[in-house]
Amino acid sequence: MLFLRVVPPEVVDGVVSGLYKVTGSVVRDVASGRGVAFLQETSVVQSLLNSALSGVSSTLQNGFSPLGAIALIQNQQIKSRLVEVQSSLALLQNLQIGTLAVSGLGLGVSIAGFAMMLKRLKGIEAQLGAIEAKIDRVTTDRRSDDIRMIFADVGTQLDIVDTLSARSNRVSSAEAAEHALATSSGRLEAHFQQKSEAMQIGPMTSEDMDMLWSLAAAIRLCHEAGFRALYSIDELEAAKQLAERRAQRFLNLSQGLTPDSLARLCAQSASDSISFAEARRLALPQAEVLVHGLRDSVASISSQSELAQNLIENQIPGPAYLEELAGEKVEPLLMLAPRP
Amino acid sequence: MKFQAIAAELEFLAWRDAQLAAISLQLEDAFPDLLDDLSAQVERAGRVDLVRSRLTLKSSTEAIIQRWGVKQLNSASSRAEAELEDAILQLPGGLKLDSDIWEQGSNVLPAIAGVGLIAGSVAAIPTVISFATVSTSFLAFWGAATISWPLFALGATGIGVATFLGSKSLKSVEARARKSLCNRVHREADRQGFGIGGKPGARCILSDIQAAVVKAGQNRIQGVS
Repeated sequence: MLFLRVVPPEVVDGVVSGLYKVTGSVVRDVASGRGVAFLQETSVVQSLLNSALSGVSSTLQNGFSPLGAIALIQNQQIKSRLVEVQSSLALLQNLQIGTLAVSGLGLGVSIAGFAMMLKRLKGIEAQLGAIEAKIDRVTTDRRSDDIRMIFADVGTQLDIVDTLSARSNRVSSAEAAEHALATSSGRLEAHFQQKSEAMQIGPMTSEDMDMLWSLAAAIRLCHEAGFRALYSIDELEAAKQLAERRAQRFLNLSQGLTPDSLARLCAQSASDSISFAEARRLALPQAEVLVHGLRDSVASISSQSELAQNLIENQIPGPAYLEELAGEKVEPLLMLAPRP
Repeated sequence: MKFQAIAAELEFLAWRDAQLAAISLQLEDAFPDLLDDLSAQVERAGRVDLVRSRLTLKSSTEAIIQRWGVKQLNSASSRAEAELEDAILQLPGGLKLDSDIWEQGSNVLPAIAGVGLIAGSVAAIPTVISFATVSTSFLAFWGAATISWPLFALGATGIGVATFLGSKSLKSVEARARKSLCNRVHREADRQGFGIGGKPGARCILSDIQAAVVKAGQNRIQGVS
């Protein structure tokens, strides 16, 4: 390997002991805040996940995890299985299995192939369909149609991004795909904002939280694919700047959401303080997974900006980085050391 | 440097989220004590008080609820301040709150108080509130929400009529009136404490305490106080 290397035990030990902390894909020294490594997932992660997820609910295996109780309970169990198979995965202490649906582990640049990304997209779409079937039919019809059209556009762009290396007009295709994905992302953000605001003015249900989660997953998928398109044409400076801006936009989208307020809104129809407390506490774990997942997405996208900056400083071309990454067949996680 | 500003914003949002959840839990756990105090007050009230001195009952009920609110606010504020100082210490290396960190990020100061559900309470809290002043200002901002007169008027009416019907009937009516009054006072406490029965976003003690704490925290972060 030219740029990436196996994660050394001292980094894993440092995270486990609390000396280091993983923020997004950056391992930081807690005392100084200095980045000590950039983590990058490889395609091996997916096969490990498939193995660890065997025997659990089909919604997880099919690539989308709603905020259901099964996912919450099995989170720790699945993480333990992963660490048993590969010790470096102990780095992912804060991993919520539910976030796998958003974009794999979300470490570094996404290297998931078209089939996997499309599977995620279909999973999200199916989840949205199931949620909307449970809620008000009249008000959701128009919105559903728009979201389905956006998803169809995203599916087309994923196809283009996945075949960039085989195209003669790679640069223009990548730029166009990135632009179209950004447009789709913006439209999905508008849906997210609308849904989020509507939820704050009335009693809400766990379906509402699932809806937000699904929209966030789709926005994140657009970002991952667009980011990879820019890497493939070596537009690292653009990738860096876009990651900064999108992290801020994702942060702004999720800023007004807190687990407590979402859980309180779920308990709004309670008739007394006892049933209020029960309903709030019942909804809180789901709300925490949703909001923490959104914040983790912000950290992950933000750290992609640092990764791009690091590649620029180390004069590592984007396509070469992707090529080396695609060649890894053993390690699920690799790391890039920051420039001294 | 923008990623450091975002990392700082995430730290503060994590602090806010943790405080809001902790305050809900704290008030829920402490609420049975408030209900016990209110029940005891209704039980203690003399027949004359029930019939004539609605003002006395109303003001003592208000006082019990306010005393409870101040106690909860003090506790929430102390915890929030200590945990915010910890969060500030854990900011990414070299980041200082008096630097131009916020301009590097979103060009706006972190809107940690921007939570829709408590927006009404945030608007009612003094702009310059700080952890040093938050506990003494509870009565100032909570004074707007008061217990309604009809709550006590209903309890007194039945007793007033029963006084003409003899002592046995009076005792029975009085017991029923006390129980009924106690239930109504509890429901009023539910409303004032958690906004139960009201619209989402309506002010209640829980939202007011949450708003006071996040606003004091925001002012600390922004260096206002």
